[in-house]
Amino acid sequence: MKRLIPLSLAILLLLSGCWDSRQLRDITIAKSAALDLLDDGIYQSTISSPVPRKYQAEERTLVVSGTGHTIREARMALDGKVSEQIDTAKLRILVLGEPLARKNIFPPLDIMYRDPRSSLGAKIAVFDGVGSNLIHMKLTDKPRTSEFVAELLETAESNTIVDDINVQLICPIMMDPGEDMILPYIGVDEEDNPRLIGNALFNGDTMTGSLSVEDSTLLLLMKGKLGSATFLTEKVHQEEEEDDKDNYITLRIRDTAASTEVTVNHASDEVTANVKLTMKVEAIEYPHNELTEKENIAKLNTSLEEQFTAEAGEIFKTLQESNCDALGIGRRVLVHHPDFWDTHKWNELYPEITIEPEIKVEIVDHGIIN
Amino acid sequence: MGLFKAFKHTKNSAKKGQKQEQLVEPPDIPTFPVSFDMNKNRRYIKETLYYTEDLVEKSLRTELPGTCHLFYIETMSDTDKLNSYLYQKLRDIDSEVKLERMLQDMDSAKMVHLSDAVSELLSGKSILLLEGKGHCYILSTNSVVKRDIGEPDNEQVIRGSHSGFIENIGVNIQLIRNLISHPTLQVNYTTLGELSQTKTAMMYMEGRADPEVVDEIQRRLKKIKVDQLLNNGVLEEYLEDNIYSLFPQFISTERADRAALNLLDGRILILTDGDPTVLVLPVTFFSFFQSTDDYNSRWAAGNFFRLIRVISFLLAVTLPGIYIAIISFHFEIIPFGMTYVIKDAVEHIPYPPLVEAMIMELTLELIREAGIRLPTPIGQTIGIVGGLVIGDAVVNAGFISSIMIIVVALTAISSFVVPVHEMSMAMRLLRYPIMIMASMLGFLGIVFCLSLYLIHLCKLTSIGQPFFYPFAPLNAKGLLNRFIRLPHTVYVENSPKKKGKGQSQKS
Amino acid sequence: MNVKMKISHPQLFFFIVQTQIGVGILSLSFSVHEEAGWDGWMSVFLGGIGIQLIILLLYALSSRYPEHILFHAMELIAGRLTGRLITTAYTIYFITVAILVLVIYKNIILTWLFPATPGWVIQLLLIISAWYLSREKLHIIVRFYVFVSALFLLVVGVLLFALGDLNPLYIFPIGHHGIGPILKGVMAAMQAMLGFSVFMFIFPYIEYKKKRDVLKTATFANLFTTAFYGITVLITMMFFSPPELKLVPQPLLYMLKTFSTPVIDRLDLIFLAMWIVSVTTSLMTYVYLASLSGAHLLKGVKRKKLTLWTSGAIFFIAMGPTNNLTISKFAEGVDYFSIVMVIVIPLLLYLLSLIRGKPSSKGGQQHETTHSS
Repeated sequence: MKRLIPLSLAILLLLSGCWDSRQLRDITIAKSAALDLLDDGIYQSTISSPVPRKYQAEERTLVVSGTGHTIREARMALDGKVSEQIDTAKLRILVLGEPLARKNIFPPLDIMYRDPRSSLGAKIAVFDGVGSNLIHMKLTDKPRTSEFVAELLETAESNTIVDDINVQLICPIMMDPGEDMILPYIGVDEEDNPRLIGNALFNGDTMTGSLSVEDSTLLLLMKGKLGSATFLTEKVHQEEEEDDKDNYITLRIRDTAASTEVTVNHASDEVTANVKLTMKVEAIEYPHNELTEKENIAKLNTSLEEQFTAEAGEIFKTLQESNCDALGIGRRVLVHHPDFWDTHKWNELYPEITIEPEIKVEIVDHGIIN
Repeated sequence: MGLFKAFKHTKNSAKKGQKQEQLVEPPDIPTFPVSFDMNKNRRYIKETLYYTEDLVEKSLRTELPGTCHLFYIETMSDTDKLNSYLYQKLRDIDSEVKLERMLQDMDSAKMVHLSDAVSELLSGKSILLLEGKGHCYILSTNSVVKRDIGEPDNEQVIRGSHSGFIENIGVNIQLIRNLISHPTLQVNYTTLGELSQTKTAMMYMEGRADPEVVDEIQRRLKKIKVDQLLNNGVLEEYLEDNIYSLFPQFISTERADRAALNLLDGRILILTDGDPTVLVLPVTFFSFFQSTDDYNSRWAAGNFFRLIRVISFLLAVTLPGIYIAIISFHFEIIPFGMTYVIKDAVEHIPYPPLVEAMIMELTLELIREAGIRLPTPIGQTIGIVGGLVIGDAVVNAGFISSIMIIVVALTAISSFVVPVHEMSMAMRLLRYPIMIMASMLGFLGIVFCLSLYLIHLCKLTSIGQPFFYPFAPLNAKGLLNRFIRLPHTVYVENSPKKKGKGQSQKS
Repeated sequence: MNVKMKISHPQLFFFIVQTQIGVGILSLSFSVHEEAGWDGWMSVFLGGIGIQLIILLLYALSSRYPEHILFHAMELIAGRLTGRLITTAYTIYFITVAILVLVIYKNIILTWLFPATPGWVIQLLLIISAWYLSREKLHIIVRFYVFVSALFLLVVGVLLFALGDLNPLYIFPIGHHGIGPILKGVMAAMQAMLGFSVFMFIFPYIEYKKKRDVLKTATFANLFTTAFYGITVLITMMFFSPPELKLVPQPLLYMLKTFSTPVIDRLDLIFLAMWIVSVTTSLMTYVYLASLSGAHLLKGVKRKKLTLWTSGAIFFIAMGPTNNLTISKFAEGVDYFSIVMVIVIPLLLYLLSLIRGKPSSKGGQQHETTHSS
């Protein structure tokens, strides 16, 4: 200790500067950001940051945009517009404008992956339109867009509408040749309020299509994901009742088992994927009240299975049209048939393969009444 | 290897010390044997004490031939005792045998050297000189001023014994002996201090205390050369292995039950006359986090509070540093919801976080230091003024952020949780290097400081025993025994083998 | 050596493990992936087996002279001059490894935490704590090592975080890359495992009932490190898809960056700061060994003083390489140097000692005779 004292004094003298200190008070923390591709191939970066209470007059958030040839340049342009230094280390939401998503998304994201301080835990979503519009939107119930979108996505995750992902978690999928990612897709409704409209389908790092909310849930279930509050509504009766409402059943998914098996016919270069999904469900809304009879339940199970299988077929068609291998079939081909994988271009092959859904439904519970 | 040599050396000299102890202690005043000439004796006593005015000389006459001379210091002696025992009894003396017997009954001692007798005189005894004899008697007529053995203010417990040590070494030893009546309890006296001639006692349980440690302490006590020794603090610095360390290496306690428990654990006590605190040694780091309350309350609760104390140590040492590091380097780690709350709070603070923290820490130390010396009612006022008024005003004025106030307040509370005062002082000092490093290098600086502290703790020894014991060297059974308080009915065998090992890893 | 200064077997275990695990684990999966693709995890386990063989050799050599420090034994085996030359080589080797550790971790901190801080500040921090402990006796050093081994739990915690987002398909098909690349990966893995050899330099300081126990402890340490590394590599490989892993030089840290907890966001910052302790332990071992061998060379110089010199030398030399390319070249050089120092020289020495015949059972006496001669 006796030698420590002069030593620490010496250090003190030497270290009169604090090189990397970034005082919290001197930083504008961006909570949400949007990346867009403008018509002339220039990136636009828009950030929003809540204004500290002490400066507030009326507005509660600060929204600025900057443009440039790279994202960094766009951000530099932003710095010129804000008094304090902008920092994206606490970014919560990253919105990609659809025009950008339709091109490549990896180059603009590169800076996020490369910068050691960037927030890789940020949620990422695609916006149907120019991303900065979403950031600029003034919401009535939540003053901060970032919070609104983040909570929207979190709820959707628990409802199994979107996958639980962030900027980093999509990266392995984006780079994997055998699997493609799907990102939350946000649009606006008639009253210009943002809402989730499903998932954007990607091929590699390019957006190629979209999937509706209802289909998203089924797709995620087939991927083996299950949120804490997952519901599916299905029309199970075609009866000519005057009230169409009674024909529907709403199910809460209790438990699922999903598996995907791939068989390759080397002779004909044909790949067949067999997607199996077994769901244990609870009927939470079913005005028909006919669940007392055991055969009725069995009947209902079969009719649900048919419905879901048909729907799944539609989903696969959409996926193949967008060349989006969301189920990771290619990865399975690579794992089980590496020789076949090496000799074929999966990206070209995928739209041609056969995907067979096989869905089993089991109603295990029906609330406290029959 | 160097250290080993040093250790060997100390062992040798310890043996030498023991040999010396068997001889008569070298006298401080040149020896003066009792002269047959009474006048010479009288003059000697008076001159040695420089004719101090509270020295009383009385000539007493008995049936025997020759006069007796009684010397005592009136401020130190109990005149009632002299009256009732000596004067009355001397009247009936008619033979030397009778005189001898009477003096024996009176708890007296025969002394050949007058110089020794004089030093006894100074502790309140009286000297009886008989004419024409080559010796004198000393009589214990000292009057003793004693305080009540009330509970010490700074070591209160909720449940358990409420007796505490006082300024009298005899009473203190009595208190301990009352708690442990076992023949193995040993007391060794030493007199220290050239001027003050203070009596110190070393107590230990033969068979339980490590003999090497006992030897080592004796050796170190021998080496002490001081003019005055009025309290244990001086002794502590002479005995410590590393006096430059910020960590206290001995516990001082005013509680008799605590001292006794430590004795039973094989530790050694050092008592000083005139000081109600008793030194316990050797100790480990975690002894500072134990309170006798732990052993009296339910064992689960005892463990919980012990854990709280250890957490409080970590908090008190690191919390301001962590806050500084977060505010000026790593605000990324603040979770999403908190970022703006904290940013709002620090938005207008003019100072860098380090200065901000230093101002508040120093204010707090000022309040504490001011409050300690003042009588309780005024002390409380200071507390209120300091805590409420300054705290609130400083935030409103915009000098200091409200979060900094929370941090400093939490730190202050944590630093007072530890039951031993010395450790809480160490904790307060350890905080500052961490704060400085945190303001320069963020978490890296904090971890650097902490690892230096940890290395220091691993190096530190208390009388040759590892200070950070159940953790470094790590010992699972030791952990069960020392760190965790098991129910009293559960016993973990940890004695012979471990003890040998524990010793073997010392020096 | 006095009994009181000796270290016990658990302490030896942590001494070896702490020396091995340090800066290497942060980039291990990247470096094996570079060589062997997603079969890199097999390289790690194979590396463990390979190291076990080397441990057997080192044990065989050092247990022939259990009473002597290896540096002294070398003089007995190869003669005074050659022995001293080899000892000098070892001193240089230890210093080089220490420099490498320092440079690599400095660079990681500079890129991850403090891009604007001058590198020497971080070096100074690391070297001060290394010097502060390594000047002490071995038994105090191991006390510290045992205590800070709790940090391994940190890594385990990190790995637990990742468990939810793993895709086991990323490491299939097993053995796709063939035996050649996997063996190359073994080399890369062994680089991170260096340090298993420390037991042979401190053989006389170990408290043992049977000599064989030392071998057992060294084996356990190797087993632990191999399993620890193997699991880490497996998990990071399942977390990142193979194309992404190519881009991420510190996968463990990168993985951490993704997770946030309700109390603490951005665990990588905390981890990186805490991990300097584990890195310094490796550094401490090499500073200690360098000063130990140096003290053997320079009779009459106190080891304590030597630690200051070696630490100073390491600090100043480590300021040199700043360029990533230079560092990787330097690392490669150290790899080859390690092979020579850890395998070739011990093997030669062992063979030589076999030829010279077994030393007399009372090594201590022989020691004295050589001394007087």
